[in-house]
Amino acid sequence: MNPTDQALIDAVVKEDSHRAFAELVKRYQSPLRYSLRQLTGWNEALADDLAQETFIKAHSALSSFQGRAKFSSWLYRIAYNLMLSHFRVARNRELTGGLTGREEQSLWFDNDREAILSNESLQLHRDLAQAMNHLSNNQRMALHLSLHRECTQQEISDIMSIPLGTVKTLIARGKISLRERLADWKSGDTS
Amino acid sequence: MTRETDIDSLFSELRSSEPCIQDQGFSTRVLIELEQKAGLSFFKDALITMLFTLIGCLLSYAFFPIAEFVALLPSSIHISPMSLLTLGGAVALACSAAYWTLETDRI
Repeated sequence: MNPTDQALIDAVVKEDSHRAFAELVKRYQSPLRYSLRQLTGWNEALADDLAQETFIKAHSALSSFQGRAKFSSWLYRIAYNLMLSHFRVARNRELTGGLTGREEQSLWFDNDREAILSNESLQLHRDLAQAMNHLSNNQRMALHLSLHRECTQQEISDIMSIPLGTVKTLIARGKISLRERLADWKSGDTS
Repeated sequence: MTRETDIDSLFSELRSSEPCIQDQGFSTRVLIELEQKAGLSFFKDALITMLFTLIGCLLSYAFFPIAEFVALLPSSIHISPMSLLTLGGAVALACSAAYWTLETDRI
């Protein structure tokens, strides 16, 4: 029988067991990396870097995990904060003369186009990630957690550290923006 | 089908077809990174530094000829305008060097 998440966490905290942590990473790497791909416009390299950083942060903060929320929610919370931090730094770099947001975005999309050609079965996932990339960070996260991960609004509120009312607004507005984006795509505008 | 269910059914399709991303060394990379970050803790590092400093001080005290060194020091100091000027120049030079080093480090 597979040990529970809590048993693995206890083993990491009390015995500093790397094997237990490796098991946790193996359990959650796929959904976390997928979610981060969805949240970064399907930028695989960036998503994997953020996922790696998330697990490293989680390891150092594992003793503070009290088990009140699901382990996955706790991971998403760390990942979300890292993602916001990354975009903040990228924005500052853009302001100080680095790649502009659009340049960076088109760089990602160019990589994606090549990847799409090589793997047709993932096209829908990549297309949606690109459509979601035009939403704000908060809308994207709220929409992904609500519609894809099927988190409750209270869970989303806890993960994103925002009031419940804001979560509802973000999801409602995110849906409207995404619908408009998808409608543009249907009419042939893929920019 | 309403517009609302359009988005919902799209996500439902995505949920059911979510790819399982293969590990492909991801877990190993995380563990390697963890081991590299672990290294020595701050306290262990500080303890080792202090220990070697103490050993260094004891060795210096045991072997350094303090009496002969003290005998070399002048018994009286004459302060002239020229010596003050030299001292001021040396201090200004040291401050400039420290400032330049800090600025270079920050960039």
